[in-house]
Amino acid sequence: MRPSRAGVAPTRSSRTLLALWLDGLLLLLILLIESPRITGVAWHEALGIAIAVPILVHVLLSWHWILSKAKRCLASGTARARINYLINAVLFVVMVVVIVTGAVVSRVALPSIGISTVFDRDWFELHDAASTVLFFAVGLHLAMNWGWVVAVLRRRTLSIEEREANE
Amino acid sequence: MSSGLRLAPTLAHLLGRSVVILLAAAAISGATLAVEGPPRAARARLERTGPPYGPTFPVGLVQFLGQAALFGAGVVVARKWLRVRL
Repeated sequence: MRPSRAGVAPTRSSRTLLALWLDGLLLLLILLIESPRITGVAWHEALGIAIAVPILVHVLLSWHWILSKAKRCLASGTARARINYLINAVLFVVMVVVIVTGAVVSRVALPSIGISTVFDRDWFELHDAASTVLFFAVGLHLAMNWGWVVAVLRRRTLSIEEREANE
Repeated sequence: MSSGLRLAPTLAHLLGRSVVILLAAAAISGATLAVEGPPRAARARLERTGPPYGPTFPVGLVQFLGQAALFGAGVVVARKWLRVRL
């Protein structure tokens, strides 16, 4: 999911740049959360709950894309566009499942604010399985949108070079 | 927030869209709860009663770099051989 690529007006450009930075932050957070040995359980849980905020912003930034692609997919979308939309939908569902199941089996984060939890085996197994699916879904999502990432970085590099040449 | 970095045209739009996203998340959470049932002490993992582990830097770094490499390899394979692209 990403904002529209059309147009390089300052507003759209800064929005695109924000989306790129946010996506980079999300990727870093996901890699950190998927490596609990580097963070420890406490930070794994805290980051796992906190990631909900950048995800919300990511979806808000992609709002027009989500609506326009949904309409186009339902009307006359190509198989590729439909698969991309499906991957994004699965990504959102799995991300919510991972966050919620993680919160339910939380051993540090929620108990530290007075919410008692049970380390339920079934919820933990779902959390574990959903995390694996999430990892692959994020990889597919990035692979699908790699062209956009490269285009934004290239445009950014070009504009910096142009600015430096004009000075 | 500067006008160039607005997440939605107006505050009402922002709140409305956020509510829609949160409702979708609540529906998914409700479905998960319906499938799994509420967490029960009878299903507790007793082997996890020890204190939660803290960060272990060398092992953690290997795990982090391993995850990043696996992720990068997955993206390259998807792009190059599986031709995953828009």
